[in-house]
Amino acid sequence: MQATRAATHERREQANNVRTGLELERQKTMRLSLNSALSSVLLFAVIPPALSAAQTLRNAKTKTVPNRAQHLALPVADVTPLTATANREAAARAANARPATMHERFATFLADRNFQSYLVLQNLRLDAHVTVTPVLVLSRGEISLAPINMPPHTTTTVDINDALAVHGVADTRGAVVARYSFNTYGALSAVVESADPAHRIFLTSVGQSPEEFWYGTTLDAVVWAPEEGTEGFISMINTSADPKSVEISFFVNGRSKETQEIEIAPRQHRMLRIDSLLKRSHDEGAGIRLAFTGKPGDIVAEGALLKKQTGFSKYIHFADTALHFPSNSLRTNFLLLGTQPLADGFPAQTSFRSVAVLRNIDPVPIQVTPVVKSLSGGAPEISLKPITVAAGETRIIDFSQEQRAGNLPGDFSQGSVKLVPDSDHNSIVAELLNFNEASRGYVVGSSFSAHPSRATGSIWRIDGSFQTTIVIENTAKQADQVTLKLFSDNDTYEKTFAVPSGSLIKINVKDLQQSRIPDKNGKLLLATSGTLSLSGKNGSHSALAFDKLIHSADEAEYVGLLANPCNYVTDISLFLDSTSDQYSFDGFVDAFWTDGSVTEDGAFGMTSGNNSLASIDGNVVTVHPVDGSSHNVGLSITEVETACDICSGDNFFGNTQVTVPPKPACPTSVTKSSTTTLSLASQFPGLKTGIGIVASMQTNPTNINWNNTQITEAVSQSSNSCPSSFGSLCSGSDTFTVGTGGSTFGQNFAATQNIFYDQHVTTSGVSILDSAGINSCQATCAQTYSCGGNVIGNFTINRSFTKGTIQNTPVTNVTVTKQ
Amino acid sequence: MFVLCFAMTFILGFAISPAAQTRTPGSSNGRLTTIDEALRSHHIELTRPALVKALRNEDAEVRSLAAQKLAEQNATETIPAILDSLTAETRPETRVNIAFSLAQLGETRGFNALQDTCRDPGMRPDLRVEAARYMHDLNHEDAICRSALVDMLQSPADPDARAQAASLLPRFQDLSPQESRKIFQGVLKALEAPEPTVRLAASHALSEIGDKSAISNLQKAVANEQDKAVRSQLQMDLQELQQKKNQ
Repeated sequence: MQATRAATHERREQANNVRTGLELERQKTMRLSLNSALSSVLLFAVIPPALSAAQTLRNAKTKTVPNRAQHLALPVADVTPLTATANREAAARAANARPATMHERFATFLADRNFQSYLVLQNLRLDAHVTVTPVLVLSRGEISLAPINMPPHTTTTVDINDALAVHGVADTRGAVVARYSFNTYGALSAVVESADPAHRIFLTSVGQSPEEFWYGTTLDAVVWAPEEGTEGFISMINTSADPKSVEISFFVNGRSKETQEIEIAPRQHRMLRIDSLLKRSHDEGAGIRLAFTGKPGDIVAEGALLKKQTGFSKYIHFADTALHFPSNSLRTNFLLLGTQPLADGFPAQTSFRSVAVLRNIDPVPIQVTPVVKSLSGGAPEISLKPITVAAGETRIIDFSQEQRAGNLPGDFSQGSVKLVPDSDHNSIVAELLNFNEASRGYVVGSSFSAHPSRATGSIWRIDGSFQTTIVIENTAKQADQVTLKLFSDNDTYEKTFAVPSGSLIKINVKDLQQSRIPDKNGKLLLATSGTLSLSGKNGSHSALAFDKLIHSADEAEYVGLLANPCNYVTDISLFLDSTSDQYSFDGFVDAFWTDGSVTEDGAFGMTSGNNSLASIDGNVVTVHPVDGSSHNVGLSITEVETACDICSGDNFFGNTQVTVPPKPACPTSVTKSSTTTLSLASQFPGLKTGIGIVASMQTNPTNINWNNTQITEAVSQSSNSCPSSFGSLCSGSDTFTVGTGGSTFGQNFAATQNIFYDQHVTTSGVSILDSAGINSCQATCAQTYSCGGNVIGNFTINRSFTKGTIQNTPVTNVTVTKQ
Repeated sequence: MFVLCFAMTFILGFAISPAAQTRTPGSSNGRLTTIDEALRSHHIELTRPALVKALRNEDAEVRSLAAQKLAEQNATETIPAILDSLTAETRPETRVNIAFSLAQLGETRGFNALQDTCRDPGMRPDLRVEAARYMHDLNHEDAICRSALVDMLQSPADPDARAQAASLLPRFQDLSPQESRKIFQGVLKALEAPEPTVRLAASHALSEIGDKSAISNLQKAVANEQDKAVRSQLQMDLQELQQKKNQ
């Protein structure tokens, strides 16, 4: 190991602090998006009178935690070792040793007579405890609840209604903040569940961190209400310490219909009803834009649509329109059409209608192509007819209608869909609604949010009739392998799944248990709930689009934590590993992810502070000693890594240094590089015996410039069948100067670094075999090369003398080999 | 001792001196005459002006050496003068050397001249081989030169050229599978040549190529070889190839 892995890293927070918005715009390439954007939405789901998923989960595996007696919901499970080597562990420790800073996640709660709210917290770290302090943000100020120490990959819940009652608070809505100290804000997810079992309404608001929104101060959304009587609202939270003014614009048919401005006090919550807008959205949807002054992240927003009569609900995602992504397509892996396979456990008689609503947020028209891929495989992607969307316009795509029109196969029931705009930037926002066509409720599935990443984390549950379904698409050009870890009270079930490039796979967690499918260690899945992590094997090069759905036979919608939007990189470390060659080192980059895992890739793209002392080829660093002193050379690398919860790409910097040792006095070895045969014909008739070879001898190791080094030879005879008249064939005591060219028998040999030329020739003006009256003979010489008194090479030189003719004149050919 | 060694090197190495043409054979295992030594022996100074002037020397060897020294000095500003020398040169062997010097200086016309030499079937075979070697030494593996070598390898009419081609071809790396096969087959055929020098070159080439499928051919060649000295070398090459197989 040549250098430390972590000591020289620039802290990402420091870098972020000094960047201007313009620099960020230039430097950041957005990789992924709206999966994380789920964290900025308020999710509504319809549930039957029975317990919500989260409630069931809580009751089954955790305890409800009133603020009076908060305690851990899930005990620590086995923690899979994160690193394979002590070095890597040390590097991980170093990376995690960065100072912890305070982070906050904001969510909305409803606690009126209909709604019961719980704050569900998940420690996403696989390796570390996180201490969280829940804080209620109320009209009269903030109330801190007791801190909760959460072991790795565990969940815990806080009963908000109970906390309000204990503190004598009459508020029926507000915000809750999960406050925690850690070296990254990605260590924790927070969700508020607000359930109205009487009306089968279940709302989930996923806590947003203002640190996630670095790009802009404009947020856009699109809504569509399938029928009259649909209600909706927007929830906005001012996360800053200053009052903020938010301008709200509603768009119908691409035109702004209404604009209003509201003030939100510091760290306060506001809700705004949008019922009238929804009334005008039936045909082609409607748009919403929020614009505020201040810094990105000062205002976080989300929204919801619901209709109590039908159990219809749909969350509204607000996208930061300043984001830029390498792929501007929006994806979801849960496009459901018609009746579903029995094994998936949807309610009997459920037949899904699927409608997407999209909005062009560009000031110019764009064309959007919906591309559908079936989960059943077989058929390739199906591109539907592109839709032209005018500037600001909203449009709906009714996939059920497309299927009826024959544009989608009649047997298509599950798959993914992506919306591909013809622009080179983030041009659209979109929502997908899968709902029971008969009841117009039972809305399932995620939004257009499955953007490629390496990993994600969330909860799982399969108790009762609950199902957890995971769908993964590999959008990379290389095959990947997904590792699924299902953590539970006291165990970890770990299984891998191959995901060929471009393919879509579905994992039915319940089926893993029911079919008694063993994990990689032969263990069966015995637990029924817990947390999960998913990760690809290609580190930063994995591009997996994850989606997860939890539903039950009679409860309409996935309830609980949304998939962790993005498991992102907090730091990278450049380090060198030694090789069998003492002068060469393999460069690696470790990426430290928010869940505590570490991935390692070859450090391709390193730069050297001095290429003549330390050169780079691929991920290999070769040092070149030049004099009697040692030298330190700085190495650096810049990599774009997944950088935040909205999965943007950001530049990370790794630095290390390599020590170039003093140059030894002599090469360690001499090897034969090549031989050049010298032609007797070229010297005929002047010579009638000859000639031999010029051997190009290489001094090693070649990373050192040995030019001008003196090499001496010693040659002795090993065997000789030739007559004495041939003279001494094995004489030689020359001194060679490495890197010197020369000339012999009319041929030139260029001066070449680390090469010296050694000729082995025999010549005569007569044919010496004919003179001696023999047909052939052979002589073998032993040769050694030395430097500084040490032998650095041993060779055998064979001279074969055979008869021949040139232009009918007898000659003696001298064939020389050197081994 | 150094003086004696240098004397022997120079006598054997550079020119066909009167001594080398005597009936007494001379053998050497040692360094080449450096370009500096050779030029000094011709009383040529190593300054740029003197070297440029030497490009027009009446002695062809001096012209060749002067061009090579300018290449060693990386005297790119003298390329026009060397090009003039190339244009004026009438001796094929000197032209090849001057072209090599130009190519070392990165001059395309030097490479072109070497390629032309490889391509020219009317050119002395040893010069075509030399041009191919020069191209290879400059990491400029050229299909035309390779093709010329393969032609020579397959031509029984000129045993000397055939042996040289067999010796040089194993060095080439950027071969298509088809070329590799053609060369391998050509070397195997050369192993059956009537001339011992060709068989020796072919045997050693097979050892250098390292294709284990040639082991049986070499074993057969050893068994059939009548010449004791040749058989001895064939056995050594076979042993070398077998060792490579085991690595």
